[in-house]
Amino acid sequence: MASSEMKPPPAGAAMPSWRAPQVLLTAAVRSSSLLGHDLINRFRAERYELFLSGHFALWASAGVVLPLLEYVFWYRTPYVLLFAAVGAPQCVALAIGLRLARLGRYSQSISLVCITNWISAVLVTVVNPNFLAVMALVAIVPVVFAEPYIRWQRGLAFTVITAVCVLAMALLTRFLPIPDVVQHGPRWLETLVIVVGVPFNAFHLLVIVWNNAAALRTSEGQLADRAAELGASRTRLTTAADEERRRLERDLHDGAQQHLVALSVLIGLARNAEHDRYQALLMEASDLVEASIVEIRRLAHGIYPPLLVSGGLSEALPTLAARAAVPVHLDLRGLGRYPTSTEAALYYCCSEALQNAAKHGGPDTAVTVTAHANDQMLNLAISDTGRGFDPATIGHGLINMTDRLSAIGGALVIDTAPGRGTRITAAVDTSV
Amino acid sequence: MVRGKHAWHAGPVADECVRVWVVDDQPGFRRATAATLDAMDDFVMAGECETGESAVELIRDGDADIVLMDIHMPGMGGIEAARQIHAARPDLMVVLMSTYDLEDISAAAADCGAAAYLHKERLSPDLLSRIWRAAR
Repeated sequence: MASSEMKPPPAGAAMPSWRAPQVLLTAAVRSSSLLGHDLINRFRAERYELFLSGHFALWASAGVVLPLLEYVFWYRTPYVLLFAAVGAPQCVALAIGLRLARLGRYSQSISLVCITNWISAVLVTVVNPNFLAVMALVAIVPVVFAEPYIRWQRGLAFTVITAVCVLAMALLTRFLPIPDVVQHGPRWLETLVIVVGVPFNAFHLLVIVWNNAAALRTSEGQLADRAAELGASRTRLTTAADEERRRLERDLHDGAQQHLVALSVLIGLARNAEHDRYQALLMEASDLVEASIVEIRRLAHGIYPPLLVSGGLSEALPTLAARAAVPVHLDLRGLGRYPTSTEAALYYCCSEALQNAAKHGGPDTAVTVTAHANDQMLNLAISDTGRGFDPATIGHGLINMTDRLSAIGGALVIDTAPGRGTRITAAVDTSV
Repeated sequence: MVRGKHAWHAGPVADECVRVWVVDDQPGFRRATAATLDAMDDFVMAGECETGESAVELIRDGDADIVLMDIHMPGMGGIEAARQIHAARPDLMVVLMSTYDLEDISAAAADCGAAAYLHKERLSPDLLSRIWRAAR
């Protein structure tokens, strides 16, 4: 059973809603990759409405239209109208249920449809116990198609009530006498209702069950894909972390350590030097100390920019832009403070994009960094006027950025092609 | 072996001087080595370069007695450069250097033809003289 209430489908579904029944009926039989594995989940709302409509069609035809026809043409007795008296309110309830579903009020819709359906099914069985088979199936249908859309506790309660309801109908059939007025009615019509009603409801149930199973298979497939992607992303992040440690070791070894070692040699020389050499060696040593300080400051800044800690993105990004090797135009609006992981991911995303623009953009490349934020989302876009590149040849840096954004629940979109610049957009949900 | 020739690239060199080539991508350490050699009467800087590739090219044709070779350099690296220089000039003494301890150095350093390993921070006129004398 579903663990949460149903949500409306995402906006902008590629397939029009009018095709949903066709897609869903096909998907009821098999989850076809040609149709797209996500269609069943994408059309969750339509699925509910489709099954509810089928249920409505049954009640409207067999519960209202048929009794009225019977009354008018074949068996003019008020007793026949009892079916319509039960069927008509049930149709109204189903219509209201459909309306509630369209308003997104699934919980109310499902409760209304299930409760009225139980009552109507019992009443019809009382009016004509011969319809037990049809009515038992009718009593089951709403619970089966509503089950994926309700919390498991309510689903369990509805299932138990349905079972009790079917049991009650069976007992009523067993112990209530069949009224004379039913016995004298046109038997062919009764037979027709049973012969058509039982297969129709059985088929309806099977379609629902198959569709639920297809949705489950699709979800499992998507979960497996997601798990595989997460595993690959985790491996890439670990590799990137190792690479970063190697880079730090290399930077320390090739930078500050080399300066300090040379300094050590010079001091050793100065210790034993004649006075005229002494000053020159100290000057050299002093230069190396300066170089070491600059190197260590640069390294520390690269590990984690101090401005990002103290002032967040709104202060760190202008400094990053000012230090970039290409001209950068900044347009930062609504930026606040965010979790450290979010700020770091977006900062390094921007840093990587600026480095790429400087390295690969070509001469006269300019960059525009745009950040827009509100209570829900933070969007950061870095656009350059450089050469662009084939998206298939994306480098490790941007792959790492994609993983890093993904790890904090965000997404990175890279829009580029040879000859038309590069636009990198990072979006992070800041409402959670 | 102490020669009394002029270095081909760096102007006149005093007679009987040991000519030293420094191969290191770090300019700071090349300066420190130059200062060390400057403080020695019988050693002289014969030349310097930044990569293993240029060292192989220059030292094969040039004149030197000792090559102070940094192990970690971009490109070929010091160990491979030492191997190629030793193959071309077995008479040359190659001293490998780095800032790592000896146990952190690749085992390939042992059989590349280098005569000694020198921790960079221990570079001094005295140690250089002793290495040279020991090898001769």
